[in-house]
Amino acid sequence: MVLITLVSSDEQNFPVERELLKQSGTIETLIVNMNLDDEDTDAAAMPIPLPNVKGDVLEKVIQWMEHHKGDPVKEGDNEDNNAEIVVPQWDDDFFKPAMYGSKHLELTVAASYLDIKNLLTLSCKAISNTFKGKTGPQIREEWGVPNEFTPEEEEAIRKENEWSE
Amino acid sequence: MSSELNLAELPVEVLLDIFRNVAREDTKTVSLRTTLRLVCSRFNNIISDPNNNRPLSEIRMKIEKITIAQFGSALAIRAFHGTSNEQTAHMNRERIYSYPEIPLLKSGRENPVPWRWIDITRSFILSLMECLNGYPRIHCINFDLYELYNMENIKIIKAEFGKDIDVGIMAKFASNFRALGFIPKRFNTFEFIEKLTNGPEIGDFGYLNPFEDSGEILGYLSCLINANQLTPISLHTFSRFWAFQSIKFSTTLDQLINAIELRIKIGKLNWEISLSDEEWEIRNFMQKNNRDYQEVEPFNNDDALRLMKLHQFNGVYYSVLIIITRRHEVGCYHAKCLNRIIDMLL
Repeated sequence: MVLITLVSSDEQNFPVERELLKQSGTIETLIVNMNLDDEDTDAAAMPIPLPNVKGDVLEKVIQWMEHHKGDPVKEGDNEDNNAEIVVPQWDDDFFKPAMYGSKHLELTVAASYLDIKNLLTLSCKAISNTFKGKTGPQIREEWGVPNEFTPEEEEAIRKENEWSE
Repeated sequence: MSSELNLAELPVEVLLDIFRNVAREDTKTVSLRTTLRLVCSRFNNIISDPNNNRPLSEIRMKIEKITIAQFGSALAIRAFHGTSNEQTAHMNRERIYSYPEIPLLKSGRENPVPWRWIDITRSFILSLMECLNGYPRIHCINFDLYELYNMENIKIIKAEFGKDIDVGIMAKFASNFRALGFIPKRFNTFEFIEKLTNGPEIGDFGYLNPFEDSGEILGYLSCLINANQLTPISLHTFSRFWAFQSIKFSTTLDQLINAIELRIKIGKLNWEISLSDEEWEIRNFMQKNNRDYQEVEPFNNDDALRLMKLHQFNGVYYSVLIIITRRHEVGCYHAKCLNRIIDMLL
């Protein structure tokens, strides 16, 4: 089994099975560019630095990839796909403990940076699920977003889309 | 990366993904846009940014039509949601607080029939486009305008298009709509149609009704006559100069057929033009250039020439039908081209 070492921004090393990394478009590109798949290359001796991902977040990403090993990898932009996305129970349980906190957001940003489309989609879906049936101020409060609007500004936004009597 | 990353600080592309996911399940798309804008100023900026119109199309409001009205010195612009039925639309309308620069109305005092006209300028078109930012394709824009003094007294306002409006700006503006009525014939070009039907909202385009812009206003009666005259395309441009092999001439019947065939899968596409020359020339053109169009037996005892061609894509049959009739009241031939899905089991 070929192992490739990922190095987080806080210098933690994570030896990861080569097969798992196919889920990440960014790492896959780096592997190709660094010739890590070549027989002559000692992949273990050439760690891949990931300066935008902290160790604890990378650990979660690897945990997610291990569970989803062998899943079909999504390709291309899925912008036009209107199909409803359902978050599987395992993923829901995986995201839930960190929901409403910065750890889940960091995991989402890492999924985007590492180009792990399935993780990004499910993670975004888990966030959007928390918006259901809520007002703007309720979403703001639950996620701890500072209120930057004056009452006048809020009223102006409401008015822009106001229904006529 | 900050240890306390906030929802509002997520990268734009991630937030766009989240917004799209909310839209997939929320049926109240009208309030959803406002709800998200009210979360924080970053959400508000991203949603209001015209560059994000395409990725956020699912949370944009679905508008059927807009109206612009002037009451004394006050203006009102209304967007109607999801219906063209007047009664339902009345209950289903929305104010837009961003007003276009509406040009002043001009009056023709010498004319015995009351009429007024409005100059459609480049500035007006650009201003209206600004107001429509964030809205998907509206059902129809019709430049045959009416002025309502009261319900019994409807007066026509004729739209005059400024020379500074070129095909490019007009096509960009027109891409906000699914159907167009009473636009000048100079926009009836292949380039215009191409830009119009290749916009981001592809799939919604339905109908184009180009209209001869006479360049002068002759009053109410003349307006009615003009309403029956669709854009004339001289046969000379296609039968004598082989214009279908040239890009120099304006849209020809052949280009019209081409445009419809190329967009056959988009949806219903009707395009009407008038042909103002001799019948034998039309038949001659059709025989030489019919590209496998078959003449359909006449029905309803009319003298229309019907030509049809079947296309097949992925097992679905589509027909393109060209109906050429003589309009006796205005002394010219009229061509109507349309495409439809055919149920081959019938």
